[in-house]
Amino acid sequence: MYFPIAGVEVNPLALVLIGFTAGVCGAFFGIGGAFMVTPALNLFGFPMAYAIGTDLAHVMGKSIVATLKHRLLGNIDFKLGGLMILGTVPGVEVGKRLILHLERIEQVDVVVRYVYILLLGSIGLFILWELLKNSHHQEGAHSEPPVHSIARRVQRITIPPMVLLPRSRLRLSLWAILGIGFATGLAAGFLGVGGGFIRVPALIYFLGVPTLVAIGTDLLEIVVSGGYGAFTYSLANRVDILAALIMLLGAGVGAHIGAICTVYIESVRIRLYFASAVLLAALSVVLKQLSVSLGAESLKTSASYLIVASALIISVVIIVTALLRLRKGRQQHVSIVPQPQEPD
Amino acid sequence: MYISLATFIVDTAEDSPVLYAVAVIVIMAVVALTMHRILEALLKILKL
Repeated sequence: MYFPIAGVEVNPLALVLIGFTAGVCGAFFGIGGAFMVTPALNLFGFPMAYAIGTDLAHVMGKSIVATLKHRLLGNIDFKLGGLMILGTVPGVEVGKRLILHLERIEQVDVVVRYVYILLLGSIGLFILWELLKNSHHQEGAHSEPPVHSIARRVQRITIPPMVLLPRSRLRLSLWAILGIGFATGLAAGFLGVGGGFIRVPALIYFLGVPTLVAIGTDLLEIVVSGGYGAFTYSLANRVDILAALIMLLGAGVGAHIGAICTVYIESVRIRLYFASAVLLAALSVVLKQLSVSLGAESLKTSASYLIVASALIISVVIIVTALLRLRKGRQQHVSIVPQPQEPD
Repeated sequence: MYISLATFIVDTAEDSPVLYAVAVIVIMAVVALTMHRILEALLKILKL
């Protein structure tokens, strides 16, 4: 099928499949999934600017579906999400200015790539280390691992005004929320990504937000950031709306399934899969950097294949695990599905 | 039909970028909302 805006010929089934994969991972982890979809579209022949723009448009649509489903499941803290956005926006702006400065001194590519590797690697390893440390913790279907010591310290900050967050069962200083929002926005703006893979761990480990609420609340932010990104790329005529719509057909279904899977899979396992996805993404950036350093173009293509294949495998693992839990729950004649809460 | 639709989109994107940008956001949002409703209705029918 020919897509005249991007000027490429792609099998629409491949777009549906990549959309479905991104939908499952996005709604399950609370991320936009640009780091998976953009390389995939680029592999299909989309020029990079069209790959980013088209991805942003589909991310916005997919995140709406995922956010609505998480809202029905009671996983969204609207107050926290709104306040985080207030901190995120100036953070993104400062990050963008830093990038423009690096561009002027012609150091942007290499610095961004190293920061990306460092950040993704540290986040992935930190989560794995935390999970190993708490491996003795008896995990029920929906019990939350203990709140991290950093989060406990942040929760002790009592600089007014204090904000009560009933959905997250927290009382936090507004400045702590804005500070975390700013820091994650800065990282996202600097790396040129939506920042879900930074914000979800930050909400969990720095603010002490329960895993499922962190996922749902981050998706709310992605609707806003994805929408803004899609709008600006559309203005520059870099969004292929036909391709984005076809991707959304798969992504919408995937997002619905991904959100439902969070009900059946315990928080520890969600964190484990999240860490694996982040580490695989870091590995793909390492391969990209090696391709630049060694001048081997094949490594760059391998990096894109690695991230697409990883996303596919992780989606299958998520769905299979959820189905096994569902089956186990039915065999025990005990419902492991919590009753959906009334949305805010 | 697909070709004429595609040509119309390409022309709109080139001639009126603001209209195209607004249309992208509105269309994606409407399709997403519709998909959510259809999927929720399907879940109810399937009793999942």
